[in-house]
Amino acid sequence: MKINDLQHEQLQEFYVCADKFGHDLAVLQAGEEICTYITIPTLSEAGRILTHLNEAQRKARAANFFNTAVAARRRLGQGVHDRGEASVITGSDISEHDLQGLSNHLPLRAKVVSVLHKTVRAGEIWDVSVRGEVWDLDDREELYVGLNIGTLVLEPGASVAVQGNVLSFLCQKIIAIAPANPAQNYQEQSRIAILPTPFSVDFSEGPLHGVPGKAGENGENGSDGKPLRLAQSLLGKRLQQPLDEATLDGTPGTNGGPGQAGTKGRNGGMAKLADIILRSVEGLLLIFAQAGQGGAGGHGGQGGVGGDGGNGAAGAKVIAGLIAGGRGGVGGTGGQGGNGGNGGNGGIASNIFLIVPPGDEAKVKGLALPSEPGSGGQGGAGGSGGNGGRGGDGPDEQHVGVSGSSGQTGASGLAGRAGRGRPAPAIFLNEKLLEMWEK
Amino acid sequence: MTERFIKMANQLGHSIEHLRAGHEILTAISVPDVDILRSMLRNDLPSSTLEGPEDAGELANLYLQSEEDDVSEAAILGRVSAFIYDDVPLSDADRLRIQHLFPMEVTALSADSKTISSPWTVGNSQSLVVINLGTLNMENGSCIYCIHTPLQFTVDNLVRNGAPPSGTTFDIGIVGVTGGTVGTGIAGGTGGPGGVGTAGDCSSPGIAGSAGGRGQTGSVGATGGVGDQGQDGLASLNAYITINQQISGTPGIITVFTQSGAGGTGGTGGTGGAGGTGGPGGSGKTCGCEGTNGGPGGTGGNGGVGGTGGTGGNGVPGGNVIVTVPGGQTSQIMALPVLPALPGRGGTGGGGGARGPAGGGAGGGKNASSGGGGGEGTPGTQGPQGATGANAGATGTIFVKQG
Repeated sequence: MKINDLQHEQLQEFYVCADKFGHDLAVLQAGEEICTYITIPTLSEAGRILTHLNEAQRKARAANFFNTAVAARRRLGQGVHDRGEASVITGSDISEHDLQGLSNHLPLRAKVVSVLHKTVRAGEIWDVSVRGEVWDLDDREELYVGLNIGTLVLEPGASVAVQGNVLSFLCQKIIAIAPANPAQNYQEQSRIAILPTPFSVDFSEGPLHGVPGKAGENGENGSDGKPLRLAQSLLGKRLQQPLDEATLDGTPGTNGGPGQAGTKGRNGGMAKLADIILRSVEGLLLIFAQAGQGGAGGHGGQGGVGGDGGNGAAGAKVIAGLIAGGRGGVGGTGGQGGNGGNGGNGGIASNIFLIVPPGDEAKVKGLALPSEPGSGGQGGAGGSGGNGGRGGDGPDEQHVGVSGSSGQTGASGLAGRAGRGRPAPAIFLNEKLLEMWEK
Repeated sequence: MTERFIKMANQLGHSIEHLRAGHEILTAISVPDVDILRSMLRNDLPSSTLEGPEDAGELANLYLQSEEDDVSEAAILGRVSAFIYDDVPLSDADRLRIQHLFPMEVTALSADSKTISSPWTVGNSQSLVVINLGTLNMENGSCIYCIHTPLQFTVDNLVRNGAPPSGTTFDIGIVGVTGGTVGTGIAGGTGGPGGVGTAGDCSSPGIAGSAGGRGQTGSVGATGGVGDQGQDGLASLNAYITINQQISGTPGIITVFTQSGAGGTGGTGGTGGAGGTGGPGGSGKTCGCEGTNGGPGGTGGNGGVGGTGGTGGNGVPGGNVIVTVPGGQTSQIMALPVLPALPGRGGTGGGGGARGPAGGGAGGGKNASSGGGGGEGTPGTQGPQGATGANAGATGTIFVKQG
């Protein structure tokens, strides 16, 4: 298979794009790969640098851009970003209000890569993503990746992947080498993968998965009964102070505390817009896209164990008579288990636009999956009841104190609800929905 | 061996043969009823020996004051003691009232000759002890203790050589026990945390409004609980000491001392509760792509005051000591001055509670600052000392009689 046979127009477009990226053409001609990080002051300048559409293509794309899934979120913060992206790619107008909101994100930041020839080895992933730390930004900032490639060879199972960046991908020739046997699943197929941010971009903080609730505090053990204060005498023991039989009883254990609720899972990572132009396709290429799974809700914490009842104090034989041992205290009830946290929703996804020569349309298949919801956390188990206190010893078998009963087990917490999945991104091939891969 | 010694040994069930062989016999005797108990204790006490309320001591006094229908333990004990030692008839009602105490276990010791050269504790907080000796040689460094135990001590010949051990001023001490230690007051609860400061807000969608508010001050820790009252002392109990034939030796003088149990010290007051944590600052608000600052944390609560120390226990009245000696030898018994059983001291006040921790500053919204931490509270002060016990115990009297 020939890999260095780009036509003059293709080489010219490659060099024009490299020039817009600010890359040294001589270095590229020498076969080196250049990767730089740039800032772009305005949306219109971003359109000039990162898009490669003609006027007809822009108009067609503007008509497709706000399809049902994207239009549904127009009132969210992401809607502002959608309209900004549309402005960059299609040159559509943008309102003053949206411009004011987007001004917080200017200049735009982009990682731009040029290389005349690149081969991704079998089974390997070329991850072109960029994170905000390059510019000392947080992970919520919208970042761009511009790829400018002459010839890209994807060996069997190889992929180019972007995780949660807006992708502008211009490739003069892509060669997708098929596996020896027909691929049984998409990981075996050479592909371009539009993947989600490896973190949630919702407005919450913390990890993707909900944090398990802490176990409830254990109940305090009851106090033992107060021993009789006895003194000796000619006739044996006598009470040193007036008898108050209630003081011989152990006190009840306190109830276990409730387990904390697990926190909710966060929304799955977001898969962002991709604008892919392939001037020539050889082999069978898969375009894969799926936003991130919602975080699982944290499990509810176990209820605290009820405190043990206090032991009864010993009775005695005294001049006044036989004093029974004190009663054991009742064990405390176990704490209720915490509720499981709700699962996070699957991540949202943006459009994927793909342009190939009409004669190569059959060489491209799409696989776009809806994002999966996070599972709800399990409810925490109720805490065990505390043990009943032991009855106090008696002066004889008939005067042994009654032991306390054990506390009841606490109720279990409720399971959290699973989150909702989100629609798969639309993949447009030459501005028409792409046929899906059916393996 | 005297006839008295043999008679009493027989009554205690101790083998004369073994005693003749020089063995010391220590047994626990099961006394079936009050009449046998009286007979055992009166074996060598003519009824005329103890006459009058002053001889019978505190218990007889109680008896004299109690009516037949007074079923308090002290009253019953007084009437039974009068029956045993003073020939006062015991009613059927009282016999029924004490029926559950029998069979009663009594500790009995017999020896034809016994020599001691260190302190000998004949009883320590136990039921009646009966001692029957032919000759007791108290060598230098020896003395006899009887601690909160009723005692019947009979010896034919008592030889006292030398002096009691260093730090001890008596040869025979009939003493009580100082009241025991008691619990510390319950620690005060930790003060509640301060409330969260008001959250920041957006003045309109996408435009930052007010910053998060300061967290509220934590609550003051609760005052520690009062320490438990000190236990009352345990009394020195009646002791009957009889020397039948002779007191001899060098110096041949027996010093006798008695003191009842002092009150115990009151319990320490509970520690004051820690101050509550200052409330966290109110969170800053993210308003689109900008945000408001987080609020500063609240000040920690002050520590609670320590609990008052517990009141000291009371000293308790002691029993009497009746020493009977052969004719012409009363001067060889020296009764030491009696000392009252003092009330216990009040417990120490509990320590002040710890200062409450500062509340944490809240995080700011997007592109805004976090709030700073609050200050700590101040520690609580120590609780007051507890009061001294209310009562001192009157000491029993040492009677020296000629047999």
